[in-house]
Amino acid sequence: MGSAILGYVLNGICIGGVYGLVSSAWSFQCGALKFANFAYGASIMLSMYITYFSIREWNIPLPIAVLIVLVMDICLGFLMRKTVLWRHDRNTQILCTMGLSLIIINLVDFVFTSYPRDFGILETRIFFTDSISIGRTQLICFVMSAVILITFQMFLSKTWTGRSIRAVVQNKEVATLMGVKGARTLDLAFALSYILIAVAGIMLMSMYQVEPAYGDRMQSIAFIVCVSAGLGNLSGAFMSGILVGVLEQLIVGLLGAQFRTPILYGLFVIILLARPHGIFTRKQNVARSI
Amino acid sequence: MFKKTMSLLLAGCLAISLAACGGSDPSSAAGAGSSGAAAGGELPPFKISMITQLTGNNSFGGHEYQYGAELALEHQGGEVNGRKIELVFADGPNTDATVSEFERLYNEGSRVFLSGYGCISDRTFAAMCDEMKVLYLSLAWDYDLIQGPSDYFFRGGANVTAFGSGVMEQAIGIGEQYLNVPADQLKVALVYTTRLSHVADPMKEYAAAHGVTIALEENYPDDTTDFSAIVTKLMNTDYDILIPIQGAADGTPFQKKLHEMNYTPNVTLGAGCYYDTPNFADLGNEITDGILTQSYTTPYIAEGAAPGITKFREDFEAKYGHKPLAHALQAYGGMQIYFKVLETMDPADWDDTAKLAEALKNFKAEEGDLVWYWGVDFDELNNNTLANQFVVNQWVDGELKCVFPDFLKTDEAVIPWKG
Repeated sequence: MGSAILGYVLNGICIGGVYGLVSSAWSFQCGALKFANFAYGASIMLSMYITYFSIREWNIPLPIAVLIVLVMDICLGFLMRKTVLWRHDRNTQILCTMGLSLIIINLVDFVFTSYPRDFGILETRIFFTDSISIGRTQLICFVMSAVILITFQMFLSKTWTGRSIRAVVQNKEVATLMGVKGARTLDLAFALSYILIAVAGIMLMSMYQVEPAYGDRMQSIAFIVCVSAGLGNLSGAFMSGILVGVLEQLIVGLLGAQFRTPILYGLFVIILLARPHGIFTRKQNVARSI
Repeated sequence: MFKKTMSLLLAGCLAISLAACGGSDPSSAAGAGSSGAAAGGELPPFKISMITQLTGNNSFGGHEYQYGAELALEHQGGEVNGRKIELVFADGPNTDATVSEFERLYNEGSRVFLSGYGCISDRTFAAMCDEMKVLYLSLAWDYDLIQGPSDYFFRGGANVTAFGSGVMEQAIGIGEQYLNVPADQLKVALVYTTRLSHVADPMKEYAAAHGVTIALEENYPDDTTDFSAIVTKLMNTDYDILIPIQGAADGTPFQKKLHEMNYTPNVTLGAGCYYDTPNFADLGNEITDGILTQSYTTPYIAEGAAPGITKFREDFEAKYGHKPLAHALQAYGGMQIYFKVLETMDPADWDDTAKLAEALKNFKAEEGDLVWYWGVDFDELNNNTLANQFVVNQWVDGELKCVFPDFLKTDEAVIPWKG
């Protein structure tokens, strides 16, 4: 039993790291940039499809395929910012991005069909004992997620562009007085956040199969992770992702798969009621946490 | 003079139109969408319509239905008793779309429908086809579709209760015949998605009635993507037969995870069509070989039991580029029923759905008469009582081999698997 629990925890940590990366872009968009993007899950799903078709169906070499997905996502982010997220009214943003999400899902369904797509790669596992093992791909994705998020944090805190983004997020008027072009910086920040979505999509495709509804699952996970961590808190999102991953595995392993959703969402409601700003965020001004 | 002539002409046209409208019957397709038919002597094409899931998550099943129906018509030569048959397809990914598409098709003259993939369309029609005098042949397996006597709603396929019980019956048979474990000592593990709980329920009831122990039951949410925890639990559970009830979205990651974690159950008896499909085959022989799967009658039954099954299989693959799923065979069989019924009638009477429904009610076919093997004999609630035969296939070298029952099988089962 003890070894099984250790196995659940290790797997949960690896899966949770990817959850953290998946959620961090949404946390950044929604919490820091104040864009309510409910086409987020659909965007990840689209990235997964483009990754799959580029490599498997169109036989494009991996580096070029990755480049294609990155460019596509940056363009998608930029276009969204200029169209459906042009207005700052949150209700309009929510409705428009929900509509966009349905458009993306149905377009993917129409173009690629809803047949589940899978690279068919069998993951090599690292066995610690006969019953304790973790997936090599999952471990690599976990490490990459951590590196990418640390790099992104450093970009925000160490580079002039990153500092401009933070300045605009914290006080747009003052930032503008200091010579920062507010709207253009937000355009750039939103487009950059789509790099995280692209990377998350590529990683997820290497581990799981994709179908048009897959994005809904990721959207739900991102929602739980981000709100639990505190919107806008990137490092918190990573930690919260790990927590959710471990909890998921423990619930399924110790209680049963049927209990996963009710317990996870039950905890989510309790966290929201007890700590509305998240378990990893203390200050009310969550934008400062980036 | 000109005005008077025009007035007379218009009045004449109006009178003819009114007479035509007054004479039309709501059950008659000729009155709605096939005007100009009867008078000319040559009858318009007879429409058989299908609302199926051509978009959405289950579009692969919807397309299989479409292909199966198309191939049936092609094999029929496009006509019955000299009257052309026209297939009409519409997309029904959900109930609202199905209702709207039904209204559109109805207004365009469709009065005869064949079930699409899943039960969305069937549920919609079950509630209204008597009122609309629309003939509907359902292939869905939900038993509760039949709420009472109906003149127009028929269910041609097997029901889910029989299917679920059938799986457990096969498991008991495998236990006794191959594992030397009697039913009251047999331990099974059930792993299924919430979406398919209604298949698991009759299995559990059958197991309880026969003393079979459910050693592990994992009912996971539809959006589950990682199965490592469930596989770990399987590894730590003592059971004889694993029964997964899954679709493509969850079956593939589940089987991959089993393989990745170096765990192979002693016997796997798949229930649910995923285990018959090419996506499962795509996992590779190393994973698929030896796995058993119960299904409706499939395209892989013996030619001797169902003449025409080989031609169906070969023509389907040649036309659509992949091996047919059981769904395609179901639609093919449904179309065959309609063709056989139409053959017994004068084509001029086909548009009267009351007469057509009566002919369908009285239609009987022996097992093996149709390519899907099942016979046809509707009971008082229009359930087909001869759609109760299931088959068990086994994957061998990437091919499905029918191993049960004896009169449909093409090969002997290898249990436990030699690998």
